Amino acid sequence: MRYVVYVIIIGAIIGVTFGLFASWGWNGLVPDLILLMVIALSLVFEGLDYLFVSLLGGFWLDIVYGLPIGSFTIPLLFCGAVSSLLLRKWLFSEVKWYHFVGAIIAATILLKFWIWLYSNMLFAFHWYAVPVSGGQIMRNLIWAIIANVVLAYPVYVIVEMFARSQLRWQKNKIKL
Amino acid sequence: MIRFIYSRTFLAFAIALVIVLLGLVMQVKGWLQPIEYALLQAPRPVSNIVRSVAEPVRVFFTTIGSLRSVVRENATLQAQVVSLQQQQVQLDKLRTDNDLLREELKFKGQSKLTLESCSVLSIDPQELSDTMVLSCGKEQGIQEGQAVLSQGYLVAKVTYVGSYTSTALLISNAQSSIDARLSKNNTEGVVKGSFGSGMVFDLVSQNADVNAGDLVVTAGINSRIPKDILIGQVGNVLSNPNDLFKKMSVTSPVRQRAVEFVYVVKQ
Repeated sequence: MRYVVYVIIIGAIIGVTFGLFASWGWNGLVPDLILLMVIALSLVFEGLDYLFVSLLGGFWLDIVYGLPIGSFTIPLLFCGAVSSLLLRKWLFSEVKWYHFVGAIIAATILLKFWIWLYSNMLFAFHWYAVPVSGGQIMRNLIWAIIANVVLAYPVYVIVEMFARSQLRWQKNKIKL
Repeated sequence: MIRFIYSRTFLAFAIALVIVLLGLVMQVKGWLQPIEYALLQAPRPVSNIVRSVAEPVRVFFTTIGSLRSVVRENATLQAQVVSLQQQQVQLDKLRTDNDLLREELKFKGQSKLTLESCSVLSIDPQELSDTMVLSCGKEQGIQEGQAVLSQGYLVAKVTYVGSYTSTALLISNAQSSIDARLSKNNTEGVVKGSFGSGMVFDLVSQNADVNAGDLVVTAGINSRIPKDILIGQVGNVLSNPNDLFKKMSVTSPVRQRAVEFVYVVKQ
């Protein structure tokens, strides 16, 4: 059931991002909501939910952005795994919201840098037609970070509420 | 570290990476087209609803913010309409004369463009790749390098063609360049994209007679993009008199990121 909810949420996030920010977006002031969701899930949930969301969400984003598969998927998988291992298991026993914000800033930089590197690498091998411009990425990077940081906390809270509702649901599961 | 390699997380991560690599190979080979088409169509109902709510709000606030310039623009446009109506009368007369002369001399008629209408499935909102994904591909006869028009203006160039979808690069992207000329005196140059959704008319001779408001059209040097397709109007001069070439901004009335339907020129 949880995974069906994730699929619906990913579809809705992509719909909202492309419906709202394609006409409203200014200088790349567009949040990476899937990235925020992946990192929040990696910090809140014990399981591998973040891997499912990063794989499906990343794959979907690659296609709707017209980018080669792996442009979003690989950094999302990597960021989810790293934030889960470093923040939740190894470095901090208790994750505060500002750890989440720090992870968001690092992940945003990594995501944009990877898109530039990956598209240029595939372009060099004639696997992709137009490489993403580094200048364009740098120009919009600060706005992307601002958009992600502003929405980091609300996304974290929503994911935490979802996790709590899941726990409650598990506890009160009707046994037939 | 060794303990980590044998962990469930690492195994799941490695499997996910293999799936991604497989996906990439399948995408390059064009085997993913049906899935891509389905994934592109799926979020469209949500994005259409959001757009139908967001667009009027955006227009409302933009209009309020620029009310003074709207009034000024209205006056300029009214003056332009009067001037264009006068020109229209002259052009009608010239067209009649031209048709008569062509008939007399048995000239070959003007070639018409073959257009394929496509809907825009998605436009990069983050200005990363500046691409739009279109709902037509090889099945509809689309080829790489073809021109994409909206409201009669060139907005993009096809860069990748799949079976049912194709990807086009917006001409405002910094990596786009189109051979162009001025419609009034055939002054040639190149229209390049620049950061921030703008365009520049570059590599123009310093002696060329170029003024703000001149129309820039395609030059037709590229065989896939026919000549005389409108690109935009010349704006401000960006270069210095000492520069080797003249460089001017080009403005298009089409909001490239808001288009929903386009035409691909198939020739």
